[in-house]
Amino acid sequence: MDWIFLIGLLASAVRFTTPVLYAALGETVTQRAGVLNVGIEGIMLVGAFLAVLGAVATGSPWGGLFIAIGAGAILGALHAFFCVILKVDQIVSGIGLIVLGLGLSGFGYRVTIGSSSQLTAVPTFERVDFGPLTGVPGLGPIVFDHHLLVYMALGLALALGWALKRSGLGLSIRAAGEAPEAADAAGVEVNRLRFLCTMFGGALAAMGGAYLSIAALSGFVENMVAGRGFIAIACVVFGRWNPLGVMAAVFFFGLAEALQIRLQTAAPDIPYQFFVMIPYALAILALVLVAGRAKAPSALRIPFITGRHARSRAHRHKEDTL
Amino acid sequence: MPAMTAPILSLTGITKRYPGVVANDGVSLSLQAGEVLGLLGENGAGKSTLMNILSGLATPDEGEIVLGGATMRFHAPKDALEAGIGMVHQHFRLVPTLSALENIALGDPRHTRGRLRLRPLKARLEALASELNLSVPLDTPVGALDIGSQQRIEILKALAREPRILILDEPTAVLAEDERDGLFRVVKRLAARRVAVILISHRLDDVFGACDRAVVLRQGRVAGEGRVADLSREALVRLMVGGDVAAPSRSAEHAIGAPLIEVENLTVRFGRGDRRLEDVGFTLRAGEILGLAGVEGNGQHELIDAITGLAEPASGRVKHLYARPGDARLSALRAAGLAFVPEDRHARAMVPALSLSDNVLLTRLREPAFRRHGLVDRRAALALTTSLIERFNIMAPGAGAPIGTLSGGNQQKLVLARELSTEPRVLIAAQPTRGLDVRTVAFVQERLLERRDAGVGILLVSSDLAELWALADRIMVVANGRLKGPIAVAESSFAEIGHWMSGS
Repeated sequence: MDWIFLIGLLASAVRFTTPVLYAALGETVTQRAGVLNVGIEGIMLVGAFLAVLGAVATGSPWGGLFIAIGAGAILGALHAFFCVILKVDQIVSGIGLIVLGLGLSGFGYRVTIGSSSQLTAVPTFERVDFGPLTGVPGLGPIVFDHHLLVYMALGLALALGWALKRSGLGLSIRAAGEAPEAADAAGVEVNRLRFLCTMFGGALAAMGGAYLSIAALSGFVENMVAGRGFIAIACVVFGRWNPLGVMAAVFFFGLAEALQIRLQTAAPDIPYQFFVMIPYALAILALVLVAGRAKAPSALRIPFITGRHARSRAHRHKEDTL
Repeated sequence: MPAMTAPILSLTGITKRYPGVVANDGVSLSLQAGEVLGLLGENGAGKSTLMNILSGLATPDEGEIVLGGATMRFHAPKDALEAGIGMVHQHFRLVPTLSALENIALGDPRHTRGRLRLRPLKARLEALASELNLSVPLDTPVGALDIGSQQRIEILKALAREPRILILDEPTAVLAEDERDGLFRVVKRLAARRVAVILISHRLDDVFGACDRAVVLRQGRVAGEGRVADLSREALVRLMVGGDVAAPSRSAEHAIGAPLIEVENLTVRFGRGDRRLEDVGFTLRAGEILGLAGVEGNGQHELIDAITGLAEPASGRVKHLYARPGDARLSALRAAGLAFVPEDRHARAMVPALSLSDNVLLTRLREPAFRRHGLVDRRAALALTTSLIERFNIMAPGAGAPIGTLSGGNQQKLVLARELSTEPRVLIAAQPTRGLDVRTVAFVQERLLERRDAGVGILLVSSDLAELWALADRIMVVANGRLKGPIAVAESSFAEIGHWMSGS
């Protein structure tokens, strides 16, 4: 293995990491508040599509990004409406989002840009210009040759790691996911908080999707997210619901993805599908290895019902029925 | 005794209806600053509903809450907190993974707006704790602490918001005698600081130990009230139950028979941090009630699990002499004549969503009487359950109703009825009367004594020493990782057992 190979590998690992990192960070916050959203795959797809549409319509990638973020927050709010307000099973609602997102993005693309006979130019993000730094051997391509969204994702991971641990809002979020009755009794508005965290998670998932279509590539392809939403959920578990751990987990999978693409060309005799499988097989393996030890937020997937008609675990000790 | 001034809190005509019940029916009461008010009542009397209304968890259908001269309407716990009402719930509202400090900061805008500011809070709490003589570890995750410490954290949490009124919901239910005295001292110190305290309980000792005044609720209404100094125990009991309840009578004569369970050199692990209850040895005999006393969380739970075969002990032996040797699974023991009333009713004694009759069937599925053509004989189960409902006077819509819809006391009655319906030779009952009202407690105790007289060997675990004292022939105590006793009740004294429980 030579230097060129290693540098290329790390640089592309960083690029593969970014979209999953956005989705996984959002999902971390959502889950810490007690809501599981397995539908982020669908939200990423809608984000990817609307980013392209928005970028074309506004003539700027930023326009596309903001439209994608808004749509992601709306889809997050939809999930929250079902899970937090209506107390629908979170898995069922999440699966609905996956299918909805797949359908909306595919159909939406076909009736808009995809139907146009001539090629539409999509405004995309440029890589950040670090001047001579990009040319530094080794370090340059790995650290100083990416889109702004890459650096924003890293900053976000650090910020969320700090906020969950050290801010009052973070404390409230952790409490809402661990012991909602306790949080409620302490004056935290649990359902409001869960709703907002689910919207936040949706917005970040859509950002991940937008990175794919208007930064990494320039254009939308049907089902282009290709399971990254699920990898993101695995990374949340693998990173033990801690933003920095999640970042490490996502980078690990980014590395696996970058490696499998290089292995495809290195071993053309082996059907490429086997290499494509590698990150997913690793995800399953990682989950098996940490599953026993990782502890999810105690109230994850349990709807919180205010007051005395609650049917949650904390209330099974309730002696007095009146 | 505080002078009669304008009350800090007054409730007028509070009414709250739930489908099928009127939980509070025109309740009025008032409270002075610096006063300790005992709120008494049986399960279902409406105490919890009233307190839920006061703490913002429920809104009344009718009536008025006036706090410090202003009419209040609470829509969420936050509103009540801001108005100066602090609440210590019976089932603690603490986040187990957070430290005491974080739990107390939670939801308090003074410490959680923006960055968490725990250092000034810590200083303030340490001052408050030392002033009240409350010892509380502030930096350990509260899930790792014992119940007494968790309760002190709850109290400190409520006090950190500087409430004008502090509500304690059944605070003594989980405490041992000496912890209870400590709590009462704290309550008195709070009253001296002009905090008004409402102490909810169904234990008379709490009222006489800590309260200035008592209000008794029955069936959602105020049944009576008065200054504690002017009230007698008998009068309070009559107000609570609306009639006289006879204390269980100790029949002097009963024959102690052959040994049923022999425990030898048994060691079990419990708690976090690998604590051990070591070298336990005792014999349970037919026709006796052997009491196991001890402060909550001293390994009683794990000891019972080891004896019933639910968990493997670290070392040592348990011999079930009434059963076939070699098979210590609970199912085999049950078939041989063991009955078991577990401590955690909701998690281990029943399935709330299943009907009464299915819950009765649960422990008896293998018996031929409940099988027909290889299938479950539901009709036989229904018939048995219906007769149990009648014999144990269980208030239930029918044998087919989900047991989760019953009140706690009726659930416990059904569990006990089921266990006794197998005509057991051995009964292991863990906290069988906890959280029940006076009348149900008396009912359960009578059933236990009846079975003892019929020659059943009963191992009774209770954190209520007075109960053990009234029922048990011999008492043993777990404290500091050791078992003391058993000692015959006739040869001991209440003070001695209490001393053992305190671990000295």
